[in-house]
Amino acid sequence: MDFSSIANSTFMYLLGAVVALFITILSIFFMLRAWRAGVRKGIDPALMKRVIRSSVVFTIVPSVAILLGLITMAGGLGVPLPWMRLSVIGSVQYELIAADSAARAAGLPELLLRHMTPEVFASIAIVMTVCILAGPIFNIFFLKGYLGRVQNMQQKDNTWGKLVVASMFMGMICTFLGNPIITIRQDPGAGWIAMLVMATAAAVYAVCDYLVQKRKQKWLDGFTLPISMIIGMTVAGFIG
Amino acid sequence: MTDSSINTAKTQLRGAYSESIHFVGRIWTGLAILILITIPAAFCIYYQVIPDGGAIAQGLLSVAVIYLPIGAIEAITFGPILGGGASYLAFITGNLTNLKIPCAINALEQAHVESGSEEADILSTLSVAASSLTTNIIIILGVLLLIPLTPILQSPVLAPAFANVIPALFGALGYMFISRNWKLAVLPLIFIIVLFILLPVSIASSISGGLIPVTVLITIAGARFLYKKKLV
Repeated sequence: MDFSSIANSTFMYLLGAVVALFITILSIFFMLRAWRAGVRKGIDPALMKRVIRSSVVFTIVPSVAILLGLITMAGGLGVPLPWMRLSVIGSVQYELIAADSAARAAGLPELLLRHMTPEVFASIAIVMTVCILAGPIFNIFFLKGYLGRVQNMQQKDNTWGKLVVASMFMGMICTFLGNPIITIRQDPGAGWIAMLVMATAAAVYAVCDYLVQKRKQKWLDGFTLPISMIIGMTVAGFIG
Repeated sequence: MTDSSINTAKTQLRGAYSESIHFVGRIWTGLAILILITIPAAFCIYYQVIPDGGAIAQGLLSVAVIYLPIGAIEAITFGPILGGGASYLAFITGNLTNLKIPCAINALEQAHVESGSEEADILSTLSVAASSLTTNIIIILGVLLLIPLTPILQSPVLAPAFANVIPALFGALGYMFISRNWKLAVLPLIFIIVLFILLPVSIASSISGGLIPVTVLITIAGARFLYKKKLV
């Protein structure tokens, strides 16, 4: 039997549907709970609606990129397994590395369906699953206590507490800002395009920010990030 | 009502919400782990497959050594940014740095709310929930329309554009944060640029994903110095 028909079987799609249903129920549950807590706390419902709307708009472009990652992985693992792995805990970067490492450990020359056997496929699925569990397990046992400590620190010295959280944002962002340097060293063409995309998105964000803050173009508020990203990516589309 | 009784009421409300969100967050996270483990188990049982133990051990050795610590460090780094409810939800639904965290940051920015408050926790949770639902719908549509969509998404015009989602995202976020507090960015930017230029490219490439906590610690150290010198 061709392994592709197993990896893309009705049974595997049914498992994928169960996972998608779980994520849907989970997200609605957390949304309703946060909404009710917001109402009790006196947060303006219009503000909460605006947050939801801007998050939906923001998510569209990165989600299409995730879909593209799914298509990339489908050549090696079929459609349902990447669908499930990208819906629960996973991310494109991690899943590809984990699947590729497990495939090589099993002796496959490449992560391709034509090389795959059910035993290797099961092994890859197990490796991808186990290695992603640290974050959620940390959350179950330690998140409550850890966030309590961070909150205590913020209450003791509010300015310093805010600086620590701002530093966490900044550290993450600066790491990603440096990534095109590595790409330039590996593939100068792709690296300089990434750098140009980054600079364009930053420049467009600066213009939008100016229009919102100084020119009172409030309609742009909420669309600034998606607009900056799309224009930055369009530059790559034209040059690449 | 006196000020003290108002404060007590606020604390009780916050306590009740925090307690309940951690309780339900733990239950849902446990359920997600169960579902995650069920996927390979169901495959093995349905197709009567015994997985290759040697391949699993070797795969775990090469991947777990890197990704288990990264997972825990991500939870430590991103927990205070996201807050309680959004942390549980984001760590279940995944795609943290490329989607959920920027989405929550953007939502708080639009709402002019600072991380760390209960209001921020609530708005982050709404943001991550809306984002998870949107991704879920787009991926379901993508799976249903995979055959007609594949050539479009992989076309010569769109493929380079989607290959640059992350640079576009962090270029915009970089402006958002650096323009507001550029002094905090100086030290981590110098560190990252020097490191990525000096390290052999294969090493730089393999450690870049796990470097976030190190850069965060360096940023905090720099912030502490600036704070003590009253420069921020």
